[in-house]
Amino acid sequence: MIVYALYIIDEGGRPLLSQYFQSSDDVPNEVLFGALFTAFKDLAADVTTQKSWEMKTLGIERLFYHTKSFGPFNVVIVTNTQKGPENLLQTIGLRFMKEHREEILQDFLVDFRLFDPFKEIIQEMFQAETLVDESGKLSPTKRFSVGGIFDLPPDLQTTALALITLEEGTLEDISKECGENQVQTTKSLNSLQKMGFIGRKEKEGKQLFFYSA
Amino acid sequence: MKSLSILSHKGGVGKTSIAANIAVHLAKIGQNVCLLDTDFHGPSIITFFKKNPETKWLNDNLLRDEPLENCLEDISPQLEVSGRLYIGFADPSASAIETNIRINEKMSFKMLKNLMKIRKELESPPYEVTYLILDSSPGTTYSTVNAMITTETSLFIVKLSNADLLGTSQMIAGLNKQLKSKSLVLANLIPKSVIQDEAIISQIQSLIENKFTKETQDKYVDFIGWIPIDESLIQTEFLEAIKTLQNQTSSRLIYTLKQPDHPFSTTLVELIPTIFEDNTK
Repeated sequence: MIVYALYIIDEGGRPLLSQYFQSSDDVPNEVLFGALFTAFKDLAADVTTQKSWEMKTLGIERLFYHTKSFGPFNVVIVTNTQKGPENLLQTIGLRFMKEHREEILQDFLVDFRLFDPFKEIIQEMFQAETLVDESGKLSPTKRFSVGGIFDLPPDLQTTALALITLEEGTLEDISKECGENQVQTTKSLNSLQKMGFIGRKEKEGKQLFFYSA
Repeated sequence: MKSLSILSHKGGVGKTSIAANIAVHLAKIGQNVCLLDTDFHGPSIITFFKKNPETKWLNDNLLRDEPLENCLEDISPQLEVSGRLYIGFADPSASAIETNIRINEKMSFKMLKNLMKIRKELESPPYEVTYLILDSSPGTTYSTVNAMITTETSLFIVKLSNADLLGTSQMIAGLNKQLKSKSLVLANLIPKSVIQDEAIISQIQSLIENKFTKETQDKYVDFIGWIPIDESLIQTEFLEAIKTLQNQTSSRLIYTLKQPDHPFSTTLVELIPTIFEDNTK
């Protein structure tokens, strides 16, 4: 699972906090997102029998928006998989509730900057689960596909295919799989990263490259 | 490991027959070979070899992550060859073909990912495969691209008919410039009488080479030769088809195993080192 973004949205659709782990080129307007998402969620509640506290998932073009309500606010996590990160939603929601419930309930005009320290907590949680791209270049709309590989320049195809075979790997693993030297592989990995196809994360002290499909 | 995808613009040009005969010859001379039927639209490797009903289909690995060991069959004891010949059969059932018609971008990528994993797994024990051969679908489908991406050499089989020549050269021009695999062209089903005349052969070969070079603008497309067809080959295929119609057990003849002196076998065996760029005889 890859996590692209997290939103905490109040009952009225205002985004209280948003955090992105993806290329900034694809970040949607968060005010518009908050309002539309709340409208969709309310509509779903009207036309389905799902309980309000259950996790709900909305899939749009292979991006999945998983949400859970915590009374005055909803936590939304955007991923590439239909199976949602239910435990993370629960943990983040309860933690946010514990730290900021009073401000949200009492002051409609609360200064959102008050929530900034909570972003660090989220960052740590996601990094511990190795679910996010630390380079911030991964694009949710750029997925490896047969057509996508076909369109890549031949020199990048080798690196992309090595990463696809390994699923994730260090520079050393990938260059070994490619049968190339590490300088060549670094060049290709940088190009693929700039194109938004691959992300980077830290696991057990090692920098790993991964991709989304 | 050397890897080869066998492709064609049209069906019925003898692609599967060439794939099966190359694979068996290599196993006969002691090589460990894996032959995968990736023609999911029209599986036909199964017409050459007997599959154990308990062996799963290649489709199960590529689409449903079934472990490779359950989807490959070691055919070598059946053929009594000294090397190993592992075969991954494509499911010819109507439901599997229907599934294939509905394959979307996500599923075709999953198949590519699993093909890459198979390739890696085959290099290690217990397989230690030295030659991987993929028999692909005719035309340009996702499985054609997957096969070309997974292998280092692509062998295009052509028939000397206008439709096939024009289509194949366009197909290579479209695929070859984007993919790094080396492309070879082999003409099949050529009347034996025609290719006995060296002068005619040389003239036609030059015409074909010009045609492909002009279309592809690429010196890496090589025309490698001719495979003859004779009356006995046509008759054998015909008689096997009649057996099938009569519900009798039928299996297509593998010439490189059963009739190594037949012109089809001798010509193909001569070309194998050129195809794989090695000294295998």
